Amino acid sequence: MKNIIKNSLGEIEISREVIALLAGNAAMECYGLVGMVSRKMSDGITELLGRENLGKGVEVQLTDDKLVIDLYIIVQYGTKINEVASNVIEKVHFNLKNILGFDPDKINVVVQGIRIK
Amino acid sequence: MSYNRINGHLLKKAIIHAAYVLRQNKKVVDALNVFPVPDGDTGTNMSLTMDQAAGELQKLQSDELKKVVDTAAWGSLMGARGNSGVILSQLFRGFSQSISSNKQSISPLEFAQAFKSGVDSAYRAVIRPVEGTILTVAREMADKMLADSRKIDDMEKIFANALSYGEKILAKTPEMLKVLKEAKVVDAGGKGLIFLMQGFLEALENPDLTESALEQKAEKTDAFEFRDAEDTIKFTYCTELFIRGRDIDLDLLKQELSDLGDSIIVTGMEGVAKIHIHSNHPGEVMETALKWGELSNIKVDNMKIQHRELIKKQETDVSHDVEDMHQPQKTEKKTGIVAVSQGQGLKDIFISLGADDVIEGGQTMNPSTENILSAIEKEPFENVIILPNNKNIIMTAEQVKLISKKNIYVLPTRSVPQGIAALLAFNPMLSIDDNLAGMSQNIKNVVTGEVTYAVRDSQWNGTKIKQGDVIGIKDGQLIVVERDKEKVLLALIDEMVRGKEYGIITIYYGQNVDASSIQNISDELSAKYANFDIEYYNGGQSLYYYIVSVE
Repeated sequence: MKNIIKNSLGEIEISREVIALLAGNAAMECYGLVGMVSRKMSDGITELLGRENLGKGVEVQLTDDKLVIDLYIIVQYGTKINEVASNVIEKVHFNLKNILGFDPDKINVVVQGIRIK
Repeated sequence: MSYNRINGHLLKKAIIHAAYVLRQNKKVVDALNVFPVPDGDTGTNMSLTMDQAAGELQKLQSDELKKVVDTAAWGSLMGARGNSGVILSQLFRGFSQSISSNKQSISPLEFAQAFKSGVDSAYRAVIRPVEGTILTVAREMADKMLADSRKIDDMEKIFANALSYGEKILAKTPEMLKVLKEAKVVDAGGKGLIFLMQGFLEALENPDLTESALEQKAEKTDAFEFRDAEDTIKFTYCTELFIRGRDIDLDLLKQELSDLGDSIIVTGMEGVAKIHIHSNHPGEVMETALKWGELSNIKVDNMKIQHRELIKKQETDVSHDVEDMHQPQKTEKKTGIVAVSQGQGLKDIFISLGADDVIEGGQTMNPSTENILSAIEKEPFENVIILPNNKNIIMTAEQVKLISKKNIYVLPTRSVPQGIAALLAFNPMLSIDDNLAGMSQNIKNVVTGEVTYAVRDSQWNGTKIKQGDVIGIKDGQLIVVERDKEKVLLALIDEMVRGKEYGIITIYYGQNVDASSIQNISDELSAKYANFDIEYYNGGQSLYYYIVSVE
């Protein structure tokens, strides 16, 4: 699996939740993102998630040879959405690589809503 | 020159010049870039953003104030790159929104207010503003400008004051953001903003600059700043130490140090003072400190070397310790949430949405006060919100308030969907009052439907209900009586969505419902309510075949 780091003494396995939480936290540091949306209720109750529940706005697909991360976000009306989203991708990629040493194969950002205010 | 108003013509010129100055200095800014991702492109990004704004302005024939600010806002939005670019575009956006279309010129106060509105708009676009960045610098400058413009009526002077104040704030950014401190740099975006402001001020000081003069002037700035860029650090040694002694006069100590360098921070408590200073004479710093008492924990760093290493590090793309990039955050959650529901599926849903505990209970199986109390006492939190999710349990929950020593809040949710809606509004970062207000608001937006069966014969509005009949209830009102539970569900939803053009229908099916019947109605429902999102969850509840919510 891609989430396992091996060394001479044994293995380190990082759970999906940890990856999701790290990714969610990284995304929250990006400017222009006003929140994350639950993926569980993704198509429906589009509500901002509190800090505790960040991981729910992140979907981690993990197979033997691939790590794909989907983030469901809400951005501010009047920002350049593609730029905000690409900042998120960059930041998430950077953090995962640095904190975990994982190089995600893909980071997809789904803009679920815009906040108009 | 001294003005007390700025018109569109001057503003246009100043923005174009500001963009120019930034472009000339973008490498300086790039070199500082360690946050949020140390990829050394902040200056380039900001400059590209401004270039587009300036480019649009150059194309603009009119000098009308409103058109100028709108064009700048539009251009910067189109050109926005990177975090700081997006922030810049928000500053312009807020600025332009604050200028009304009939204005020909603005006073310093109006300028400051527009700037402040830009800052507000920039802050609004982010859930967690990181202090110690361009946001902080912009906010502080706007505040300074606002304060000054009430006293002074000279645009240039106000601007110059704000600029020097902004530089001071910029110098403090390493104290606000750990990652900057470790890299021994100030914030890149903030520095970029300062360059913009410098350019702006230059244009105010000399509005008669022709284009070529503008070029020349800017080039000079460039050369100067570049020398500066090789070491943006005027003072080489970062010196930190503690003094132990009695009666240390912090103010006096600070004053004595002030000639020796900058970035001076002197803090202290009883008997101990801590000094932080950037200086070229660490020895003198220590001598000065020695007068006040015994020294300890002395640390002297050569910031030039560190800076060079940082740049080298960036070039070779060596990663930084990112964990430290996170600001210390208050993660402590002070409020617990206890929900009442029935069925494993619903329990899982509540937990996954952030409830701390779920008490088994619902219609005909109300939990006792004791049940609720013991769940609450288990919570490590002082504040606990109870979601009763049934009108019969609200009273019981209220009882708990009287018994428990904790702060108990009962949100009168009368159904499971209301409870879920309330939970979605919960944000642990907010105060308990804000949370309760938000959650109560969310409850109002939900229509709840329940499909269950009659436990005995009865009559309702002239309709006879036999034991075993399936009944559909909307917000406590009996709507439909039928033999077939799917028919009841369809009729119930029909009633619930009445008057709505779109929304979300969520169906929680109970333990007595098999998957095939869900499949059957799901096709029918999606065809019938094309404008609605329809979701199904296994609630696992007994008694109710279906619980439905429409939002």
